[in-house]
Amino acid sequence: MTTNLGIQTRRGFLGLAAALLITNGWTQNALADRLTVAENHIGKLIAELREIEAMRGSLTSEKYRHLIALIMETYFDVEGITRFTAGRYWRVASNEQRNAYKEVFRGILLSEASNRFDQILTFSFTPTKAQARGDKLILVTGIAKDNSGQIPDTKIVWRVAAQAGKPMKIIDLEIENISMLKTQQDENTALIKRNGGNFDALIQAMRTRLDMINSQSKN
Amino acid sequence: MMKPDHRIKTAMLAGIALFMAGCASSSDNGDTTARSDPYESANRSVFAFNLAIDDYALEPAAKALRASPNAVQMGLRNHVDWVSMPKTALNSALQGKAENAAIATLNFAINSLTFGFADLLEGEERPEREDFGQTLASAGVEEGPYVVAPFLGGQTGRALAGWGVDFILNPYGQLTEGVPAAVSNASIPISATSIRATYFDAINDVKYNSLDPYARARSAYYQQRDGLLRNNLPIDETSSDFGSFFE
Repeated sequence: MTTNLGIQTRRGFLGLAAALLITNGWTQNALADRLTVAENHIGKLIAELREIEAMRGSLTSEKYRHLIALIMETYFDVEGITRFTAGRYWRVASNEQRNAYKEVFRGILLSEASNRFDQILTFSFTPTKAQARGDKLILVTGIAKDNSGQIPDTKIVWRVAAQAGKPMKIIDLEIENISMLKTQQDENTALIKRNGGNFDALIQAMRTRLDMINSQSKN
Repeated sequence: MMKPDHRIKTAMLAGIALFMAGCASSSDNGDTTARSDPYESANRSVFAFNLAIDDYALEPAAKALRASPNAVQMGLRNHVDWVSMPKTALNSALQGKAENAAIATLNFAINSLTFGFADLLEGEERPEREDFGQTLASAGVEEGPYVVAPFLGGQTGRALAGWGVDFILNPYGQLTEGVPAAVSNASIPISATSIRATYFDAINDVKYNSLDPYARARSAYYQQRDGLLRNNLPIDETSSDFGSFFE
């Protein structure tokens, strides 16, 4: 009787241990899969950008902007980035202000991206590590090498939102510890603060900036 | 023996360092509101002055340097890096980072053969940059207010105090005792030009493409400095502003 109980208990423990090992193995595999997906997300973005930049000469500026807009929507969490860059003022902004900000911020983001993505041709990126930060964020770290030799090798971290049930999206690019997202948020909130908390001041400043970028690109 | 002008510089810098250290220990309470930039108005004026210096001297000089052959630019960059090695070695030792101190010492000793212009240890492990501001931070000295100094740019009081101490203690200063003053005095503008050329596009981006260049530069400084103080480890998103991204 005692022996049977002992055998049953041992079997129970062995079963539990096996279940834990299987679950743990499955969790580890799932995590490794997520990290690989995040790394591939960056790899695909860079490959697509190179493709677009390589044929830029044969594209009209409208077509080029359209392709860049598609890239932005596919690979970046534009909505989340827009919200985050307004900082704490987003919560107190009216719907009208939020919509105006979304429109002008999106315009600037697209124009800046169109003006800068050509730099991708002179850089190569080698991922060195992907790591999960909690269950919603993955960091893909790597080294950017300037093929022209003018800039030393630079450490880059991509922040990728990896929420369950949603496609992975890039939310930030950090270069040598400087986050583009945080810098933009700091700049925007500083401008609002200097104008006595007036969110419209930021929207107006951004509109002026967007007009300037657009007139420069026309010339 | 120290040259007389070195003694004057040393005394002046010691005074500045002590003054800034006083600011550093009295006005920071460690939370984010301590980064409210209490001298913002004065800082913005000095920032405008520094931008004018950049317009008329640094940017044109950096532009000219960028037009020179890559080997020249790389040589200068290596030299600037090499000059900082004694500072890194000393401060690593003060912070108990023996391995980093050893790597920096080795780097300095070997590259001395070329006066730092060629990196004979290319591809080998690089030391993490360490300065006296980081040493003060590791000793628990608070960061103090954000101060924009003429020519030097924006820094925390603690980092500025550290800069002064590094300038005085840097063994490189002692090594150039026999070097003509014109040559040793040229090292600062040459370093500044080399750094400006290396980060030419990034700095121009702040200067010409920002809604508020001052706020952008301050943000970049704090993030870069915080990264150094974390020994370049990734930020803990859960305890930083990034935690609010998914709210």
